[in-house]
Amino acid sequence: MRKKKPITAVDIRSFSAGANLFFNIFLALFAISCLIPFFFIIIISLTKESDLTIYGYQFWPKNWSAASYIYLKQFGAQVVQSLFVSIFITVVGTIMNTLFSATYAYAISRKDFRYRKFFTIFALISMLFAPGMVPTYLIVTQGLGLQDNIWALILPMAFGVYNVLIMRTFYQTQVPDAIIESARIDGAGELLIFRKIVVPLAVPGIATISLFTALGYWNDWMNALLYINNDKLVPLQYLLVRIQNNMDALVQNAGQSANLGAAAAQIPTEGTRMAMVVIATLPIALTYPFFQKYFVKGMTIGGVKG
Amino acid sequence: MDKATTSTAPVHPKARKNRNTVWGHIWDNRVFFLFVAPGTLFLIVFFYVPVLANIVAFKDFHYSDGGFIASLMQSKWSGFDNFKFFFMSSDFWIVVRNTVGYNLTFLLLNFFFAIFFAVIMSQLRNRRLLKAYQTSMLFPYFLSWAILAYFVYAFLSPDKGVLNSIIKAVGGQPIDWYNDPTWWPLILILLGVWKGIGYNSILYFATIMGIDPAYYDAAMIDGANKWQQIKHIVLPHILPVATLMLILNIGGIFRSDFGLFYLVPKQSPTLINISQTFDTYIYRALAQTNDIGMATAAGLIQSVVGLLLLLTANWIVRHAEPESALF
Amino acid sequence: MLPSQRGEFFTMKKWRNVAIAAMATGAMLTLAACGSSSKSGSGSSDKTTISMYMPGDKNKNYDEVMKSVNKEIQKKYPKIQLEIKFIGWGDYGQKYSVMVTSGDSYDLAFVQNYPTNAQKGAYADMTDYLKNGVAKKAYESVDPAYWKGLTIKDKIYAFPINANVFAQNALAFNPTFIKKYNLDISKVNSYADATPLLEKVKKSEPSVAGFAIGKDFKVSDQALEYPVTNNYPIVVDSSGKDTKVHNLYDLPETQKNLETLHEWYKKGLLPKDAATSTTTYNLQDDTWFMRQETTGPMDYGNTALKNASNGKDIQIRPITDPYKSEAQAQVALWGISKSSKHKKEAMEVLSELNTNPKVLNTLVWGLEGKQWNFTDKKDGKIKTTKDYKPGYFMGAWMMGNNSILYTQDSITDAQIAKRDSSIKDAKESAMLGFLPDTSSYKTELSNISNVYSKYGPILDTGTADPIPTIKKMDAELKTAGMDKVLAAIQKQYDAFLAAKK
Repeated sequence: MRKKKPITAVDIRSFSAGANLFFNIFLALFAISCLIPFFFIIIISLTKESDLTIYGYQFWPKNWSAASYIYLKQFGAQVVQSLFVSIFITVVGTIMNTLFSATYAYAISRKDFRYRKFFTIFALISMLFAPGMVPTYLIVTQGLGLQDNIWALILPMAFGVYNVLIMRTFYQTQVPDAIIESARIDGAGELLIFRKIVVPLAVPGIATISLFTALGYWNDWMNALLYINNDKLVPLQYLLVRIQNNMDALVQNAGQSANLGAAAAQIPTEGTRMAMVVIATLPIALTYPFFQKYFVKGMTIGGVKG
Repeated sequence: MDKATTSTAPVHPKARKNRNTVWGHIWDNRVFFLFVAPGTLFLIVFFYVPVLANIVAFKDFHYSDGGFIASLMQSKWSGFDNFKFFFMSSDFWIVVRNTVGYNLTFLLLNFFFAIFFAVIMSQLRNRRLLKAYQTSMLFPYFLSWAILAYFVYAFLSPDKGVLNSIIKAVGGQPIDWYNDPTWWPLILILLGVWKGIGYNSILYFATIMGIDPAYYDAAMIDGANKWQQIKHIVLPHILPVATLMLILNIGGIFRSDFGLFYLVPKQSPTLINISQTFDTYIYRALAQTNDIGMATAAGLIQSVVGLLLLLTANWIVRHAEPESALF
Repeated sequence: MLPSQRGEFFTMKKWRNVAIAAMATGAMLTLAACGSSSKSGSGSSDKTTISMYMPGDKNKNYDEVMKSVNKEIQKKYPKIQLEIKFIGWGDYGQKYSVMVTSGDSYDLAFVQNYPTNAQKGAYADMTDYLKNGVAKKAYESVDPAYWKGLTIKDKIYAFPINANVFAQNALAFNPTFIKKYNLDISKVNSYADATPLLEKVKKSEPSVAGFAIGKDFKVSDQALEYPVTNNYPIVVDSSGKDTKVHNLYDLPETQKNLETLHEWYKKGLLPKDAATSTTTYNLQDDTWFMRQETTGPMDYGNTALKNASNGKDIQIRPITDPYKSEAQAQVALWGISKSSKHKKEAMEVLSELNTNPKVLNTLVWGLEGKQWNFTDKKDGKIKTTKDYKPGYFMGAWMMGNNSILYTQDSITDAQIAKRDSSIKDAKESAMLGFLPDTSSYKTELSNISNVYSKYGPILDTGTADPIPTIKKMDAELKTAGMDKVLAAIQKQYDAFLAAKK
């Protein structure tokens, strides 16, 4: 095996200066188009509610107002609690899903696994058919007894066939059989090979599926709706969905009942809706650079090529 | 995990001697069994057991004492009655046309743009800028269609929208956007592609980043220019992932992005003919009755169509490029 | 030989640390959750906990309120411990549907989709408890119209909230503009009557929505009932003079109203994008001039709107006749799961909610001495304090019999007398008690629903020219099976009317 001098990724992959400038401008414009909606949302969350009814959604409001955030302040302690729940299920869920999917994928990517075809199809079928909400609800609540348990938010998403297929492709393309073969000749066991050779080579793939999974966990509120009643276990997205729906209902039913209080109709609904998007989106969006580090890592594999 | 250890233990010595028995094969593959065990367990609990309840599509569901399973068993068979509503609909062809048409367009455009963005991002010189671009490009993915619908409305509102103000300012005739289907196929496609680029390109980006730099090294020694490098190194390397995505997307061609087609056109009645897809059709048909039999039947139609398409796509790929086939 | 991967090893270690930290946090969270739940459950080990699912947000003073409510319930039923579980509005329907379909053994839940679920057998039969059992007194205190409306084949599967037994559609006017332009609304008895007022206001106030409507608005100035639900354009006449089942849009009255609305649309008297609009015109803002509301006896004229708008003296003009209708009978119902293990206890809770003023009023108004005080204990008159605010009370319309509610001292005896006489005088709708079994035409209904979604909003908001649009819609409805559905409902309705005689 020949030893190679590490070459930094920048040197070899990048465009020429001219092309680089052109594509930078292109990407910058596109990136701005992606950020505009978010700025727009921040601005609406700070617009006076009656302005929205009269003038519509404007990129620069006539009257500013912090009423939405003041309204949300009353949920402050719950928002913090829910943020922790969300972080917890996202971290634990992502680790579990990534681990289970990556190992499953590795097994079915190996040609010397005799039952690889069976397990591939076994997983694939689940992508095509939907188990349905009602039977899944029964499994989680009665079969596993997870009503009002934080694992009800984690387990139903703790494995992903989509991730498995992505990882399988990564192993097939980026982990040459020859490396595994030579390691085996050196006397390494399968577990050792996986941990010390395969995983390091597949880091970009693992980063990809863990990012996808983390986004999935962070955005999920359906499981919380079905399984969680205890306020201590409510994740952020579901809390926000709940606040929003209750707020809408309160305003819509304002005239319906003689006993309803005066303040009900004064909630800045649209502004608050936008303020909640800001709160829910920023934390996860800003974690992306963490994952990105693992894509960009330039790797040097000494040795055999396929 | 349990499966592998408990079942093999008693036959283990024999297996050593005779490698051709079933137990022998299992013992040889024990580490792989260990690897697939958690996933298998998950699939059994969260897929294979609950999926059996799909038979409700062929039943006239009524409640009986003893919970869901008893109700399911005791409900009368109804053949294909629950499927009829979709095939009897006069909108059948419109729905099929829209669903397949939009999805094919998305499939091709997403495919092209995701790879295009991934390639140019992977070749940028400035890492810090790249990080900023990628993070920004993920933002639309985080915003739900419900929220983006407000954003679109800010542009397209007939009397208060940005676009009509511009049209009026340059002396044009304002357009009643939500009552004029002309532009909507374009609007929906642009939005769908735009929202997904950040997310879709990650996979290809990561794949490109995983390419052994030695390949570029060799290419540079051979004097290959940028385009040749991309053509001969990058594209072949992402081909397997691209094929995988293609097969999976073809399998999902009868499923559509509900929010895009339901919320963004604000459910405008005049836009329904160009925005109605299978999922919105089912939702509009069943939201009121909430009939579990009919809803399950609708899901089964999507699954069966998906299954057939996926088998076809996989068959084609297996003949052209066996390495990339799913099975 | 293994490739050197020092960097990666380091990464793996870091990952492991993150994982361990996360697991630890999780264990703590789980422990915290368990600890708190066992604490709340420990005191009631000898009690039967009755779970009650309802839409809404948990009260901020939930623990105190429930302590007081349970104390009161336990005076009569010492073994019962009531626990309310809140599911957010908007999500409730989905969760409820999963709970019902899966045969969950909840004790009490706020009912959705009563006719279908009851006909398919999702609920426990209450008839015996009501007529001869624990809830007899509660049963008798509810307006009989409700029971007529809920009976399916001589059985009752839900307990209604006795409140607005009839409701009228009304046009509501913003007092700011009435005063500013010195308008007379006393002559408004239909949509068309409001045209000159709208024109006047719109001329001087171009940014104000004349008739503030959105995509869910439905034109209706006659007392009509929808045998299926108002998501299908199928109606019968509440007065019973006409016993035919009609397509709503084929009625000349509907077409006349739609013409009016279309005129308004063309003149800009209603929002141009009404057919797609979800804008909520807040009651207290001066962003609207006229809107449509429903009003019933428990609203005490415009008092409910006035309260909701922070004291704005919103004027209302009813445009439909009052009928005790099937729709009103189903406004707020409580059902017991077929698989509940505490059916009798759940009935006892319902009985308390509907007959024990202390239980109901604590839920609805909050705690005495905190959210409100008596001004006249004998007559049940109260005054709310400044602590009476959202999060500290619950909707009266969904909790229990409104006739045992305390009233705010601003409600006069004359208003209460008027309320009672109006309830007595209101006739029962001809369709009250007609709950058609839709299973034989559910395929057609789902297709009708889709066709209707293409036309309903543009017709009702005046966006489309009514006559040609209705013609087009009717043609599509025909292919969707409208004739079959109308005939089937007609047959069921005729049988119902014959049995009533």
